[in-house]
Amino acid sequence: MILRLALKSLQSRRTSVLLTVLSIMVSVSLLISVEHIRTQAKESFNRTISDVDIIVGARTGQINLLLYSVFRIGNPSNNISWESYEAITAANNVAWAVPLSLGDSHQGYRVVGTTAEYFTRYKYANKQALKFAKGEIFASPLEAVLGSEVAEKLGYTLGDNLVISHGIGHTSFHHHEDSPFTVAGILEPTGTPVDQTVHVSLAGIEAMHMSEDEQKTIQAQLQQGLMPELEISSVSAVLVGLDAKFQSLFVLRQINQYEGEPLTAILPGMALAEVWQIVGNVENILRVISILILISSLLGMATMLLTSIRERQRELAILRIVGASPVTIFLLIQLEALSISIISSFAALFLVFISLLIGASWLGQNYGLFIETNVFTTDSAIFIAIVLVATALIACIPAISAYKKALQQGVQSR
Amino acid sequence: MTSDKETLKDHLTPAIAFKELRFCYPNQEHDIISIDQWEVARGEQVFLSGHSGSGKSTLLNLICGALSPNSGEINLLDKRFSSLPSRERDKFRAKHIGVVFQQFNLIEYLSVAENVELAAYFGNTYVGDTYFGNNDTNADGANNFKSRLLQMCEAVKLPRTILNQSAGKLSVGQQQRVAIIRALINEPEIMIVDEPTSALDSNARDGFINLLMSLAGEIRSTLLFVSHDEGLAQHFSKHVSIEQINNVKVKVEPMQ
Repeated sequence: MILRLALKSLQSRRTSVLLTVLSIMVSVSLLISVEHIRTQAKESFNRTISDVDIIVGARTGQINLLLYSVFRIGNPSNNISWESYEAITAANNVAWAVPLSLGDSHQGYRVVGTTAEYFTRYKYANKQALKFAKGEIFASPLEAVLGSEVAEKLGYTLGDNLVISHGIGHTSFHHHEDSPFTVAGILEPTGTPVDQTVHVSLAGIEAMHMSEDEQKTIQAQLQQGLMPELEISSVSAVLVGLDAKFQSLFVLRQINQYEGEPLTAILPGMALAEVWQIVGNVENILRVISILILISSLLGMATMLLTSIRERQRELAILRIVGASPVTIFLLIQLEALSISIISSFAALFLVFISLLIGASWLGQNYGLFIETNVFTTDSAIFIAIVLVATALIACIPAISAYKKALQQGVQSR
Repeated sequence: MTSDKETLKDHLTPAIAFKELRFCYPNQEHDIISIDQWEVARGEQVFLSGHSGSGKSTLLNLICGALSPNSGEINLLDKRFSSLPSRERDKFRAKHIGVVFQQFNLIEYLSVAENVELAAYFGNTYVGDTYFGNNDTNADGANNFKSRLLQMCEAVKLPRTILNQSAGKLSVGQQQRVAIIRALINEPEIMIVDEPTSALDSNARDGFINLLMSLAGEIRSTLLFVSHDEGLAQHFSKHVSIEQINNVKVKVEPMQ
C-alpha cells in the first residue's frame, strides 16, 4: 500500500521525477560502463598474448613495439634484417623464434607475414593455441589464413580469392584483380587481434610487393608444382620463446646489446603492465569523475524531494489524519527515492548493454579491446546495491525533514 | 439508539474525557490549553464553538494525538490516550477517530477509492491490498471493502463512477462528501469535524451537516463538530463554547 502510494505520488510529479531519473540513469550508466570496460579491457588486454617470453623489434619504445607486434596498432618505424633474425634464432637459450612482417592491409584488416610455426607457437589467454575452424596453414606464397572476424565480415570461405594491397587502409592504388591470394584456412575466434588479421607467409609479403608480371610468374610456377624462390630481406618483429623462463633477462640484455644493428627486446608481461598503468590511471580518473557525478545526481534527487515536501504539507497532514505515523512518512519518502534509483539503475544497465552491443565491435577493430557485452553480472549487481545504499543515505535528508514536519504540524491541514 | 450489544461499560465511560489538561507550545511562555475537566458522552453530538486563536485547533491536535499534553490526561473511550506511545496513538487514531477538515481532506493524485482505501489500510479494517481486484488471495477482503464503499457512496449521494476519478478533479462539495466516507469507513467511535462547511454555500452546508449527523448517528459515533460560526449551533442539541471549558482567556495568536 505504501509502495503504491509512493509510486502514485511519483507519477503525479512526472516531469521532475523523469528528469531526476534521467540524471541518475546517465550517472549510473557512466559508472557501470567505466567499471565494466575497465575490467573487461584489462582482461582482454592481458589475454592477448601468452607463452611468448620476449618480443624483438627495431630500436623503438617498448610500448610501441608491443602495440604494433601484438595489438596491430601503429606501424613499425623500422624493420630488422633477416640476418638479425637468424642470429636470434641461433642464440643460446632460444627455443624458438617466429618472425612477423607487418605494414600491409586488406580492406582495413592488417596483413601479417609469418612462418608456419606461428600457428603452433602463438598462444593467447591461458596458453591456448590457435585452432583452425576450416582449412590449414598456408602452403604457398599466394595462400592466406584468415582470422575469424575477417572471414565473417568480408564473407570469405576456403578457396576464395582476395586482393591484398600495399599500405594500410581500405583504399589503395595497388588493386590487382588478377593477382589474388587464395584462402587456405580460417581460424577459430580467439577474442584477440588475431581475429582481425590476415596471415600470409613471409614470401607472400614479398610477392605482394612485386610487379604484376613477377606475380604472374609465381602463379605459373605454382601451377607447375614448383616452389618459387623468394628472398626475404627483413622482418618487423620476432616473437621469441626460451628454453627456460629464468633466462629472460639475460637474453634480453644480449639482444639489446646486439652489435649487428640496434634492436629492442621486451618482456611482453612488463610492457603490458606499463601500458596498463597509463590506461589504468585514466580509468581511475574516469571512475572518480563518475562517482562524483553519481553523488551530484543523487543530491539533485534529494533536492527535488525536499522541495516537493514543502509542496506536500497538506498531503502529509492527510496521511497523518488517516493514521500514518511519522515513521511511515519517513519510509514513504525513502520508498520514493529508492523507486527512482531502482528504475534509473535498471534503465542504466540496459542503456550500457545496448551501447556495448553497438560499440563492442568498433572497440575491437579500432583499439583491439574485446569487451564482453553482458553487463548483467554480479559486479553490476554490487554497483546497483551501492547506488541504492547511497540513495537511502542521501534520501535521509528529505525523509527526516518530512518526518519532522509530520511531527510538528500535527494533523492540521492549513 | 441503544442496542443489546452495547455493554454497561460503554455507557459509563465517556467517549472523550479531559482531566487537568495543560498544553503549551514549546516556543511559547503561556499555556494555550488549560482544561480542568470536560467530558463528551458516547454517542453525543456536540457543537464546540470558539474564535480563531482560542485553542480549537490545538485541542483537536491533542484529541487526535498529534500533540501531547504537558500535563493532565486525555481519555478516549476507555483508553488513557495521552499516555500511549506515539505509534499506538497513531494506530488508535486510524481505527477509532474519523476526521473531516475544512478543506483539503483528500490526496489529490489518488482516486477517490484509493483515498478511502488508505484510511481503511491504516485502520486495519481493509485486509487485502487488492482494490484493483486482480489478486485472488484476498478477494474476500477486497470485495467486502468494495461493497462497503458502494453503500457509503449511495448514502452520501455520490455516483459510483466517481470512485475511480482522481480526487483532485472533484468539486469542493463532492470532496467533502468523500471526506465523510473516508472518515466513516472504519466505523470510528469518535468523529472530529473541523469547520467542514466553510467552503460550502449555505444550502450545501445544511445538507452536509444533516448528512453528517445522520451517518454518525447510524453507527452511534460520538460527533465533535468544531466551528467559529455559532449559527450552526441550531443543528445540535448540545452547544459548548471553548471559552467555557478552557481556563486560558488570554488572546493568543494562532499558530502559523
